[in-house]
Amino acid sequence: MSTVPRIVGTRLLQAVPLLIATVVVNFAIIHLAPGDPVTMMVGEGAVSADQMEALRESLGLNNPLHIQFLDYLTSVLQGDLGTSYVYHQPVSEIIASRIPATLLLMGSTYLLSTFLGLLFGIVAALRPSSLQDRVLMTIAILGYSVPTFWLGFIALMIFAVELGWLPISGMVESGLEPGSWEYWKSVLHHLVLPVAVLSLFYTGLIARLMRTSMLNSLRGDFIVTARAMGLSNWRIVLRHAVPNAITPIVTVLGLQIGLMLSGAVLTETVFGWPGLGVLTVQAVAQRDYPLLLGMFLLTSVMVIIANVLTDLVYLAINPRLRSNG
Amino acid sequence: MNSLTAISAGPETLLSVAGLSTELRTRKGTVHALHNVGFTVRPGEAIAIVGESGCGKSMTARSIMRVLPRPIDKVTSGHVRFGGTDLLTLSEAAMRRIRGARIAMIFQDPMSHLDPLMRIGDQISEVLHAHKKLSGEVLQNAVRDALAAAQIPDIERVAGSYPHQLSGGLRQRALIAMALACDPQLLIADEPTTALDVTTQKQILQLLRQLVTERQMGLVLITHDLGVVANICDRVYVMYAGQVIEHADVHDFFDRPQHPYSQGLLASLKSLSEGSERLSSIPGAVPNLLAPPSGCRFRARCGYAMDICAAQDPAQRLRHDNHRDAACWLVEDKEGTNV
Repeated sequence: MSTVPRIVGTRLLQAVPLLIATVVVNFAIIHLAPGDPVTMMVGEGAVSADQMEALRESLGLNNPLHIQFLDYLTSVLQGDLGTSYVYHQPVSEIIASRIPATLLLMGSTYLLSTFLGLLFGIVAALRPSSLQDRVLMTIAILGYSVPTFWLGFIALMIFAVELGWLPISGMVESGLEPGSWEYWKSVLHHLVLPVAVLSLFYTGLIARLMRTSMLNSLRGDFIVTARAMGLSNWRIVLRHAVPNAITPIVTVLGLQIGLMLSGAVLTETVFGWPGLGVLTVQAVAQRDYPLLLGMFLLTSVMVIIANVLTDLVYLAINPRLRSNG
Repeated sequence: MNSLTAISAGPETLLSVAGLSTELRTRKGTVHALHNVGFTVRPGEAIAIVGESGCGKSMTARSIMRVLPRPIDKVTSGHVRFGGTDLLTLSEAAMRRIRGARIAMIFQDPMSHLDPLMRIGDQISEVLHAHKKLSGEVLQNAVRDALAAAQIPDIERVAGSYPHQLSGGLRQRALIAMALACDPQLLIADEPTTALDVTTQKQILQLLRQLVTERQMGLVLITHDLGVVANICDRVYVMYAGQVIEHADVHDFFDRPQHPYSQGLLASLKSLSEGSERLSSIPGAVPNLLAPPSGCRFRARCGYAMDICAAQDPAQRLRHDNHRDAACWLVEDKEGTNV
């Protein structure tokens, strides 16, 4: 089985040119988009044309595009993502400060929706066309076809405004000592609605995929063998049908990790969640090139890492890939 | 239902199937997959169920094992007597204790019938654990014994392999090892050699025959290959359109087939082996089992069809005991006095 280290090595090496290509494309997209950061920074008419020109010069925006790119690439390779035009802080620090909030929101959503999605998919597939199947799949389809921002507003209207059970916005009540029990209780309280709304979407998606995959797996000949060998239904489902059904789903689950870490832009905005999604929206609005590039880079890197991890997990759970590399 | 009473299941009979009818529900309607199927198997005897695709061979096996494709498919009547009980009356839990332990089954395509994500050794342990509650060292030894019984040369390697790492022949042997693990009295083999090359085919058949003789196991071999039948079987049942239409001792069957359909099958085999110019075949196609024809189901393709063939189904009066018989109005002698 010496093929395993080789596959892992190849996969990691492939990620390098992909990363470089990503940096180039991200840079190009942002600079091709219309809009001028300096105008956005100073606001309209408040500053003279000379001052704006000086500002452009100092930010390097008057240099030819390829020089700007080389400057950018050199600093990125040195771990320097530049300084935000708006916050006047290093981009890496700004992004790092927002990661915990997004990680909390997306991590909870990911775990909850993966668990529920797989469970619902399995339960639905065990009795296709039954009442339980129809109910679960109706919820699933609604879950991923209703826009999350709309659902977010409706949920806010009902649970926060009308009933007053849950907070309207933010991640934690102000004035609580960070790390205290009261603080975490408040965070949890704020977490409920955004996680519920986002999870409905991802649960629906995963449940639909899992149901299809599970139905396929249950139709497999090895299920007939397991039945003919006298194994119990539970064992057939849990040891044979489910593992074979999850294998193809792993690809989707893995890719979701990468996408999720870039933040749920709409959900964070609706619930005023201070994460990376809101940060990206602000960076776009203000043409904060360095911050935007930083966010794009983070998202791309996350997707690439998630891809590599998915491949490795796939390699671990699917013996067929290990020997014919 | 005279065929039900005509069963003479002697004390030495291992399995006796009578009047077995199975219906499959499809979108187009109810398919009468099996109609009044009957046969017997004695210990140490290999019987063949032959017929073309869709004649109900595999459905017979799955009806006996009660592992029909979908929950809505039903065995509508019949008896499956095995070890003093009628399997069709057993609870699902009791039936599960018989499957894999006392009656085992192997299949046509061992690759797809083995779980691709599980090592062979683990798949065999699972069966042993389910029926005999073995564990630890005892379990490991039993797995090795099962693999050895299937005459697998490199036991440790095969036990640690996934199905895709083995050759077709080894996969079928692994499936046989799984089936033999609990030392069943009856083995149902559904086209076990169809997916294998000729040399491997021969070895697997030899292995099956040897197991039948050594363990005094009953074997139901389902096949469309008359060559396989001639090699290892003692008696033959021919199925056509969901019915048994002829059964006979293997020598009688190859020497003097009685049913026109059996004669057609053997003629096509002969034309093949004698290398004649034209491949002899039976004209026409199998009837639609959504609405089976009246009378004899073969009459539309039969060169000898008479008036009575449309009026009455000769399969109604087929005897299911150990004497040879054919469901055909041309076969007059119902006493089986040496036809």
